[in-house]
Amino acid sequence: MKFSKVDDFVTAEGLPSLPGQILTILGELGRTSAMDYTILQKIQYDPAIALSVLRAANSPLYGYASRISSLQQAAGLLGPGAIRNIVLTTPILERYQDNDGFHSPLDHSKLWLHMTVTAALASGLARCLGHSETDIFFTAGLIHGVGKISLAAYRPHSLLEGVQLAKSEEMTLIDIEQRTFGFTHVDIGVRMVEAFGLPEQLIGVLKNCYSSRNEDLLGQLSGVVCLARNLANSWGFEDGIYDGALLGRDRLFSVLKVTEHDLEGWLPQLRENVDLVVQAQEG
Amino acid sequence: MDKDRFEKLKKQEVNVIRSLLKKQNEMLGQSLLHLDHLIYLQKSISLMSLADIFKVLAGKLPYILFIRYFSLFLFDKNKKALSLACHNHPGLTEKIVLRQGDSEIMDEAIARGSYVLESDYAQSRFFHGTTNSLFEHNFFLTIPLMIENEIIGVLNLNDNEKGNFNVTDLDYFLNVSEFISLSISNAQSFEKAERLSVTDGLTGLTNRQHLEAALMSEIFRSRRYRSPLSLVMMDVDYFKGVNDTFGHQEGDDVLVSVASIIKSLCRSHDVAARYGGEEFVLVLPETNGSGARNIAERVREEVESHRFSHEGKVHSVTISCGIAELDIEGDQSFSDLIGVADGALYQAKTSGRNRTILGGGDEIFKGG
Repeated sequence: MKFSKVDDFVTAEGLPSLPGQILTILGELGRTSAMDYTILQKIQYDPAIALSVLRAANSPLYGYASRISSLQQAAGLLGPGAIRNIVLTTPILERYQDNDGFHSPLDHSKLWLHMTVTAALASGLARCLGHSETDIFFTAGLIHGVGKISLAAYRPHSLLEGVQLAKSEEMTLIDIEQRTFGFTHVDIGVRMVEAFGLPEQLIGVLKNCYSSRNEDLLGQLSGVVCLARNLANSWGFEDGIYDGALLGRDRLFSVLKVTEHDLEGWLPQLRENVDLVVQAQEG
Repeated sequence: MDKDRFEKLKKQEVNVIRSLLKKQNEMLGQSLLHLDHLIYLQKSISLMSLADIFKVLAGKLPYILFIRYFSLFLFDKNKKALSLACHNHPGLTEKIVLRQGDSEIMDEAIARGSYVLESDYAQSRFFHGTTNSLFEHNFFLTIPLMIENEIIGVLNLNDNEKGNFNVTDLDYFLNVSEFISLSISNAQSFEKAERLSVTDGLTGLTNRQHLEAALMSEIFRSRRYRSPLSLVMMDVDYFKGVNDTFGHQEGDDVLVSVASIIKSLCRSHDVAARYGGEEFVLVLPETNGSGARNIAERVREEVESHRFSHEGKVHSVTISCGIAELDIEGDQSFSDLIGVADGALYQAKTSGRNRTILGGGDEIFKGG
């Protein structure tokens, strides 16, 4: 069976993206010169394309001195021409290709929106916490769920079965995946970003975001992304794929050394960030 | 989700994918075409001669860029001048050299170090009442040709079938301009290295190594076509005294000035060389001893009348000349001919300097 091992998900062509999403970006690119560095604004709402850009920036082909953690930095180093080609060759995710009567309740748009809202919140939280490299927090938020996206793209049936089992047995999705497939969407995401040469700090985020077992390993970057994910869910921007692995806020407040009161003070600014992202996505 | 809803969404997505595939097909097709042209251009202009590169560009660039007209100017940063190197404008044959201020568009591209694109020339700030009747469409693009942030030229593009340049065209043009810049720069470096390998670094005259090759070639040619050939060897009199009195920098300046006088009196096919130290050699094809004597005397007189100025003090120098004429019936070699001229020069030195002696005879021409 194809995609039966973790390594099967590390495809040469990279993660597929939603056809409408690619079409919109290509339309924009047709009106934008490859000399125009505002191209970043057009790709920052797509986790699949973001991952491909980071993959290219961290590849030996370009051979930059250090690992690239931020989409912004990657875009600046690669230049608009290279990014244009990445978008142009992004595989298309076909959601309704089944002819066997399987009706997928997976809402991929929701999954994509959850990633971008988490990115915006992670970036906003980082700013509130006084971090200077908010672009890295944004990037980490954007790609934190690439394992889930990959499973949703290549094995949607299995993912849905796993979700059903997790709900009925009141277990986390990764425990069910481990039992059923022998690997989890977290393993897929981690394997992908490792294979693509992404830096350790981003790998750490992917490891921690869906696993309550890794609580002790939480650092600032993972903690902020987990809190962003928590907020995104509570504001109605769930990814639509139940995983039962949302870390509690108390634990995250303790990791980040903030209080509920602090967060309340930041909410108006964070809400503004999210509104901007949602408008851009919908617009 | 019921079956009908699923079918509806599926249909919607099929339509989006169809549009997407069309768009991808169009963009990838254009990219492939551009890539194909770029590779072809790169192969065509991987040449070491600027003249050859410009010849290729004049013929092929309009087809490679899908444009009607272009002109390429080389930029001399020292003179701040742009000289027309190649173009495909019909009827334009004269040599064009533009100084700063002559072309606002190109000046702007050079100053900014980036392209200038105007979709309507008549509406642009560069318009001063005249348009080129050749152009059907009123837009233009000027791209500075750069190597490592140094501007080596400017490429002007005008007119195409479509009637406009879009951003994809622009990106392609910019990529092409980088290839052109690289080829031109490589050829310029090669030609410079080639020039330096045969040129004396101080005076700009032919160096001794190349003189030998040039003289041997002239000897061969002279015998083959039975045409006269003469050689003049010149030496600056009391040059050591110039160095001792005014310093070595002034000594170098004297050598440069003497070389400049020699060059100015040379004909186009003569070879003027620095033989070593303060010695110069002039190879004069199609010239017998008498003609060589006239030329040597003109040089000697010109040098003698030249006034050098050093820190407010005016001084002058003289030269002595020895001439050798090739015996086209004989078997004189390069060194034999040099030997005769050297002997005559020695004679000129020992008989009082500032004079010309024809080797193999007793004629002495003394100036002053």
